[in-house]
Amino acid sequence: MLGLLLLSCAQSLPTWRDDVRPLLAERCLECHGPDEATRAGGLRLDLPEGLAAAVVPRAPDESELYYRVTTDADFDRMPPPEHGAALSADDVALLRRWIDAGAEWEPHWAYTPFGAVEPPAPPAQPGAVSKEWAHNPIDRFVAARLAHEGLAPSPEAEPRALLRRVHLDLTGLPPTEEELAAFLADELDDAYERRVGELLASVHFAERFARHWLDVARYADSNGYTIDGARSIWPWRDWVVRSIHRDQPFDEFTIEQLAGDLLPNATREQRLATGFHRNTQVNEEGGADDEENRVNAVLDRVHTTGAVWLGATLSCAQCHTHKFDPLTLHDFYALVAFFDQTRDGGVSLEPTMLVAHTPDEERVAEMYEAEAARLEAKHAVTHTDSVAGWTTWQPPRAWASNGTKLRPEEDGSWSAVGQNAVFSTYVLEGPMPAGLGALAMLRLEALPRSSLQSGGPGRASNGNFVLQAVRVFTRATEGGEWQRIELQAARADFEQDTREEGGASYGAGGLVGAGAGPGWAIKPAFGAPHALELVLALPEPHTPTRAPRELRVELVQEHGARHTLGAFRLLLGAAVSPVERALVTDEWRAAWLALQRHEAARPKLPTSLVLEARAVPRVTRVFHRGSFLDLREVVTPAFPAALDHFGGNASMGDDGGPRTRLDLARWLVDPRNALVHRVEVNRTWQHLFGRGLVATENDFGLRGARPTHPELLEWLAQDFVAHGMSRKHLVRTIVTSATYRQAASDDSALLARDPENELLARQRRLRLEGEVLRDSMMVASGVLDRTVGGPPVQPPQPEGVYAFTQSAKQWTASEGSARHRRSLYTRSWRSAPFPFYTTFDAPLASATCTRRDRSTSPLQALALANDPLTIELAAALGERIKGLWSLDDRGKVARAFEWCLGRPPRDDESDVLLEHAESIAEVHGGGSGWTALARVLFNLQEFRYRP
Amino acid sequence: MSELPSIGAAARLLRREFLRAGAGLGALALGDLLAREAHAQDARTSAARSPAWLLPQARAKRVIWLFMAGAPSQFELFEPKETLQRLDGQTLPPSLAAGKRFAFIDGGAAKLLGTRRKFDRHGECGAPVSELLPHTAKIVDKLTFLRAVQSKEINHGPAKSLINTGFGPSGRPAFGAWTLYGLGSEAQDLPGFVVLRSGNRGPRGGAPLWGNGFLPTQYSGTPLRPAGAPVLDLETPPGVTPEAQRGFFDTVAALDRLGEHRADPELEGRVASYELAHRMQSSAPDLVDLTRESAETRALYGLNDDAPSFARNCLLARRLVERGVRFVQLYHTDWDHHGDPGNHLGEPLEQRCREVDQASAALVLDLERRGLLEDTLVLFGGEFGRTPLGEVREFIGRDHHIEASTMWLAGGGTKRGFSFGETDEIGFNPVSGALDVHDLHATLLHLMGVDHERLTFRFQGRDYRLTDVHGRIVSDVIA
Repeated sequence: MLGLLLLSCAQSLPTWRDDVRPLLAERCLECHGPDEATRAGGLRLDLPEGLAAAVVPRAPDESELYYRVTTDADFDRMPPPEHGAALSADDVALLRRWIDAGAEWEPHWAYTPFGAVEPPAPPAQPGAVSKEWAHNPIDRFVAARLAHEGLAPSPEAEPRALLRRVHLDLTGLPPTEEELAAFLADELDDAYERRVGELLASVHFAERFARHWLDVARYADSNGYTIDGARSIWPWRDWVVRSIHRDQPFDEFTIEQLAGDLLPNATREQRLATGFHRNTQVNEEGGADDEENRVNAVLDRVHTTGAVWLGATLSCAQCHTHKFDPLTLHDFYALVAFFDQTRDGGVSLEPTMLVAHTPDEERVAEMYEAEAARLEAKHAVTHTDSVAGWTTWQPPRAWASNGTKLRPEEDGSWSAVGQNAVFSTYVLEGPMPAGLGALAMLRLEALPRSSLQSGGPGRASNGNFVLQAVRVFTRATEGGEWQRIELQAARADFEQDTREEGGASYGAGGLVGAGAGPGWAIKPAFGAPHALELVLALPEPHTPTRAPRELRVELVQEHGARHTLGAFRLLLGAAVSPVERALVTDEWRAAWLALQRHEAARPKLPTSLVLEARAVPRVTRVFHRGSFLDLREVVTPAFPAALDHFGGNASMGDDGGPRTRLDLARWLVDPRNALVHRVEVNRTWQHLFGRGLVATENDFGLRGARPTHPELLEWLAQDFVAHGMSRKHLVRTIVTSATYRQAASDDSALLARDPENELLARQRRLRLEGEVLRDSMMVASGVLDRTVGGPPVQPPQPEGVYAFTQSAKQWTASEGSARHRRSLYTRSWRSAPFPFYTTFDAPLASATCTRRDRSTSPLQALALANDPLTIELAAALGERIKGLWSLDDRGKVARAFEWCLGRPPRDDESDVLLEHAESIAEVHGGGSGWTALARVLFNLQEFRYRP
Repeated sequence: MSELPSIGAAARLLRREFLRAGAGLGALALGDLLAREAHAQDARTSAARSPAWLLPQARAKRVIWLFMAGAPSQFELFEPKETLQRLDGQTLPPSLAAGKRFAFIDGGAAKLLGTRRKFDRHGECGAPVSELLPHTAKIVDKLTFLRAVQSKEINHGPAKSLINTGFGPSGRPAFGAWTLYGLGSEAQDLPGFVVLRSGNRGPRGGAPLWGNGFLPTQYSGTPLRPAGAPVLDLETPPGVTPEAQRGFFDTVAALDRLGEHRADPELEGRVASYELAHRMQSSAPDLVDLTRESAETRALYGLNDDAPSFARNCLLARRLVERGVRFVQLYHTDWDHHGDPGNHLGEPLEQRCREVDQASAALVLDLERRGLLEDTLVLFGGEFGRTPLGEVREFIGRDHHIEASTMWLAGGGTKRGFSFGETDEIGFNPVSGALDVHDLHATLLHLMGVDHERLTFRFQGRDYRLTDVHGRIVSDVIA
């Protein structure tokens, strides 16, 4: 089927894919496409079932479709006059020929399973492409296309250029002087292939391809938005480097990042891998809504997963069914449902994990976590025991005044987050718990948290709170009138009495009756749980049949000075509990304190943000028109049906539970999931040629670009799967091809004919990324610190970078060799990323970036000419040149030139350089001439471009 | 998919155009040309650059956006409400508070707050302006007030993103980037989209507010620093004389023309971008050298010295548009008057107003007398409004309000002495003339001669617009 594409030419019959579908997409599908909300007359023209209703194969005159586009009758003509002009005569003729020929429908190429594909035989006749040219199957596909176009490939790049290209592409570093000399001296036939093998084995390959992956993952070392606080997720970045270095198969690489925490007996490495989807932004500003933050992160995870693995724009389907691609609104939220089940969200950066780098540290971390889990379980049990007979009440509606927000926790409690208000009233309302029976008592637990000052439970600086009043209301029906329920009695496990210090008695009894006391507080018993129990003065017993439907509790805290609850839980009792029962059992308190002590002794190890599944499933609903404030029907996790072209859902089996992130990850990288593997190999191709075989690397949908070499893409994807989804195998296959090894031609006829290099009759020069430019300067000047991994570092950057952020970030340039670590390790603030990189098109890490621009701007020239980091490195290179004391000036120029550009200068080039160096040295003396020369070399086009 | 092949043709055409323009740079600015070239080469750009979105007439050629970051209170500046004064101290009727979002206050419990500021009606149009803005009061007959501008985002970061990019979460292209993409720039040796700031810190949100999003990076806004070198890396490195710097650029160009890439047809464009960088080194300092402005002009803006200030930025904005810059955005921070010490409706608000009032009025007057106002659109406002409800902290302030805020426009084809939109008696909800961020964008683009529904960029298979699927041109405000 794919072969037809190559052979079809203008005179052949119209095809569904090339001719008819684009025409219908342009003129008809807005009303007769996938979107059921706008579909007219129930007619859908993008699928065979719908077409059958309007088209009779081989009988255009009996086909409704043909009649509608040709009729003069106003009411019948399509498209309707208000939707545009009638189809042109050519378009009509095209439809007629297509129907005449049988009206064949074909599925979209990207959404079809793998089909058989063989590299074409080498051209039989000696012609434009010689038989010997092909190194591997890639070349046979390319040669076939070139032969068809009557073009010849370009000659192989000369060895210096080829070595420089493959070093920069595979490691992001230019070859050193020694590497170049060794390569030129290697006379064996497989010198290049062996060099490629060494590069792939080098950790610098992993660093280079990790940088590509960090773009995709929108990685940065801060939270984004307005406050843009620092976060620690660099251990995940190091995980990526390790994974690529050991050539972890792409399926495992994917599964661990999307769902490592869900793997059976997940290892620490597998949990660390889930940092991929913790690279979402968090708005930390006061008044930010936790749920909005959480929802934005979940939506971003869906969009990113779509762009990176499925090559699909899912964002359209957030508000409505996709107009062109077969993605429904329901499909989108079924994907949201996969990602909706994690514990992270809101301003808190939890969950995080401890990161160990040595076996000893690993033991420490594991012991700590195992003990923490044991203590948490014990704490939960002792709490449950102490509230036997009570029912936890966590109603769906909860809010607070003055910018405080109430966040529901999985254990049924609430955390007060957002603004730490001077005073605040918390309101909680919703249905009574089913099965409670009667309502007699209300229990409020004030819970300590290590995140609160002095351990809480209050938000005052000493951990206190003052609860002035508790107002309880019920109503018989939803939407009915609230009836106030008075309090009959109150008691607490601990009551503050600070009369001796000139304070007051903050007893629970003061909550009963009008204005009886200042409220309930707990000084000095901070850092421990407390409980208050209230007997409700009910007018008559609430029996099961007469129980109110809804309850509302208001916690009034108007003492001031932030004396509000930081964490609490509400429980309901059906009967008045016996007086002798302890409100807070010794066991519960002891378990809490043990947990606290343990957390305080958390090992001093780095942490990293991770995904963790919730224990209590969250119900996902469709957002009406994309708004999380307007929730509609419930959805469960499911793979998008139209993209499940290989029947992965059916073959996966069903254990009865809902599908999980792990199922999604496994479905994505199923060896039969041709789409995902096509997308992955295409992105790798793009890194090595500057352009994918599919130019729209993040859109393989119906409006995306068609592959320039469909069979090659198909073969590469299948070869990738057949070789265990090995990234190194894929890269090796590509870079050892003759296609890759061609010279970057300046042939004007070829450039005019194929400016985008779609035919691959040459290679292209590619402007290096800012990171690679900086690393290249460090290699040339001999200062590069090749240490791998670790916390981010700060190279020097110009003054004034934080003039445009809310707060100035701390940026003390690292000292010593840390200043010269690879650019991969530079700290990245989302609100003000390292300017040298963004000037050269590094992404802002706001959203996934699957391809960087390669722009040319004067700001790049200014950065490379004047930036303190260039100047510092030029000085270092100047020193290195000066050290060549045994060479004359011309000899020095030659060596420096070769360090930077990988080739010796010609005489005329040496003359120009020497003249410049001398003119500077004349004025400034000393080594200034060599520094000036180094600066010139760093700015040459040959330095800035990969050959 | 027939769009792609045409890109090559467009790129070739532009390259020819460029070569014809040569080193003299001709009518087209180089920066713009490079941007266009790269744009045309961008394989994701399905529609080759096309004038499809250009309208026959453009009223405004450039925009100066005075962005009051943090959101000023309309009730203290532009919106006196008798009923609100009368109801001072009362709570909101539950019917009004229901379903509304507030960032900090409890909409049910908070009390309405009448303003303590004195208002007068000014000019022939009789627009109310408070005592805090005496200079603005004198130019009301040149302004169009929008009194019911709505936002959808209740917090600063997302709201700033929304009004800049049409989208709450950050990452989409900024308005300025869209205008460069749609219209290019006429600036010879300056970036086409420039961002300035004043106040004691940068705007919350940072770089994404003027980012290019999925548009090519050339369309990104360039921050001009308030002190020191206005552009990062603009200054010749320490110890390098101007002659040595000239020698550096000449040597780089000479070697590029000798080197392995000498036959590369792209080479000349890249050499020219270095030449432009060198010229920016002198043109940008020249731009920020305000000593050449007359004493009278400096006095008009209230400029006493060259210290960083909003007034200095206003004068710079005029100089930037004179040099062909398409889009200038001035952020002035710290309008977020909730009621804390340092951010309440007393002295801090008075101070903010003193900082911006004279200079923003001066900018309008100065543009007008130089004949620039008729095709320069000036825009004044914040990311949202403030509540008619008071916010009680240590001092009194107001909370974020997304239902209505007030902005003013001047020049660029807008009406003079006009007012559009009205809110209810307490200034809570619009009663007429409501417009949202997308309507604002659609209208501004329309004034700039761009059809907001046709200004699209294909990314990931979708034709994106600044106005998404929204946007209504408010023709009432067009003269």
